Amino acid sequence: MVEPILTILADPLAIALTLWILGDIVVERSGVINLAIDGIITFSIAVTFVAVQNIGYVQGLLISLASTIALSLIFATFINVLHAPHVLTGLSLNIAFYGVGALIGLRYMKSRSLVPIGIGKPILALIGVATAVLTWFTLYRSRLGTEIRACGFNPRAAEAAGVRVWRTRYIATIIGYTLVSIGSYIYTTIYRSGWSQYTGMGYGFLAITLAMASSWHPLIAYPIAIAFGYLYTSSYALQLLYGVPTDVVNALPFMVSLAVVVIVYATPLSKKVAMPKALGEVYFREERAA
Amino acid sequence: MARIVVVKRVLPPSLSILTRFLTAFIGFLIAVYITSVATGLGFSETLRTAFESFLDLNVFRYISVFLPIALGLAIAFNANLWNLGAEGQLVMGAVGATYIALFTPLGKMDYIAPIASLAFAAIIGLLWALIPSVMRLYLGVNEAVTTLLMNYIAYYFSSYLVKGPWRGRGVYGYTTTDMIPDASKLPVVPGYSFSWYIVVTAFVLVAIVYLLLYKTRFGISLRALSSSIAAVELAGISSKRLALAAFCISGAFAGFVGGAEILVYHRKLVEGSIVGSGMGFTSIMVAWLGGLNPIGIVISSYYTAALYRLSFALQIGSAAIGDALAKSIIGTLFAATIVAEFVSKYKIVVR
Repeated sequence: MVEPILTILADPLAIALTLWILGDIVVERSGVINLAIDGIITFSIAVTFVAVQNIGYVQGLLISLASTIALSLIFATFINVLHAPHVLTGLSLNIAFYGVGALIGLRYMKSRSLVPIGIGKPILALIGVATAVLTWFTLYRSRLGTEIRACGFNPRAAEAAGVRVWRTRYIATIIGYTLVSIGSYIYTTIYRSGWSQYTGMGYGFLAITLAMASSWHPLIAYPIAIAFGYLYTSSYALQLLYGVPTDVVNALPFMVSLAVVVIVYATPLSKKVAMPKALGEVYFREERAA
Repeated sequence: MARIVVVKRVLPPSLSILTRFLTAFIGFLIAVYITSVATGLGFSETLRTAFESFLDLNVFRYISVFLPIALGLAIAFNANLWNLGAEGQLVMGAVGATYIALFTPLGKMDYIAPIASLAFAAIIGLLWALIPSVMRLYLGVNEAVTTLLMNYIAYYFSSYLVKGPWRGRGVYGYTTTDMIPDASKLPVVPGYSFSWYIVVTAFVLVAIVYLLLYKTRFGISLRALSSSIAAVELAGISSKRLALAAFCISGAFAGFVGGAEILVYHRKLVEGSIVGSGMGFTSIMVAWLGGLNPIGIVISSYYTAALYRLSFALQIGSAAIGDALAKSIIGTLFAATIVAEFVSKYKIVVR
């Protein structure tokens, strides 16, 4: 009884998905529409792959973390300092990051695959649960988390209450993309253990979708991530056993998110679930008389 | 202590336009330089290839995609509605056109077939855009996120059709439908992959959208929506109906392009991600690059189309590296225009 449940909870794809979604939640809770996540995931998978192949597993993780966070800081600078519309920034940086990631991968790749890391199932399952709980604790039970959520809810009011919006958003971006980078590392070294051009493209948008379906709440996001991880890894079996077309399985998360959002908005639930209201708003800190 | 502050400023329109052109030009030179380093071609050689792609008649293949979609999006963006679903609306339009061309008797009638297919494609695109707009206007769901989701639903829907019920009988290993009947095809210019019919329609749409946005009551109140909904409502116009119309027009334009892609370029339905191939997303940047102004969009769609051509010229060496290089360059150029926009609207002061 315990074994099959553990297998589902320790599914590497589900764990990677969990970390991506949680990372996205932290960033979007600070009021930033996080479209650049798709490009950054694709990039960090490529970098992780070549770094692990050329240097080693531990160094690979460090290089992946450093480069992912560097890219996320570019994104955060566009949003905060350059006051760029979130959506346009995300879309254009995505195109650039897909390209640069693929160039690095093609240039330094030695072979198409690497030796996967063997990690015990209990540890993998623990990583998923612990990250979800920690993210929830940070967002809902710490001062920093309250500040992050305040920035996502109403940056002007937050600033008036003494929160430094730019700084908080930068911190949220760094925390979020640390999780994203670890997720990409797990995806590359444990789940996929191979790379081809643009591997990972689309997972970022999936993460954004599922984060929205969870109403940006870490503890709701965790079961959703596990469920969809399970669904994806078993989509082949579903097709063979019940004749469910793969495309239907692939479209499912998007349809479910749409349905969930409609239900939440159309019913009194929307008053219970606090969503980041200022999501996507370009925040300009008005000058005060000096 | 020195503090860095960002303050607003207003550049005169001429300077602001100059900034855009300068960014586009400098960005272009940098792109050529990086390309010449990466491919090992000489700088002047690369520059010549790049200029050739600007003069190549095949830019119309991309202009006929970017121009109509970006025009439609400009209408929606002017009303401050974030329609990010052009990609999905395009794919659904392609599905609609294929349906008329392949599965109805209309598809075999001369003259009627292309018109009916394109009209139906536009209608399907409109309906696909109607779903998120109704959700936005009557339930308050953020339209940027829902339109983005619906792109993927459209992708998978089209892939499901070509792998399942619509799969062609004579295609063997490929996941496509059968070819559409000859009567439905639009003639292409010999040696190129675009049709003058679509190009001319696109330029007619430029004139129509220009008149609509700047010379009619509808357009003026639409543009007022982004600054003050209350002012529009006080003028006795339903802001909801206005926004709904703007959204639907943008969906219909994208659907029309999807239909045209089938009748001119693909000539059968293929998987959704191949029909769209990210051009719907690029059109968002095109619309914005052109300053949401119909005339500006003509220029920006030409510029972007030429960059797309360039990316194919680069793929002579290795298709994989060429594509990655093209993506890096196009993405960086788009990001550079965002910086240009910042420079023309704000300045950084150290005090």
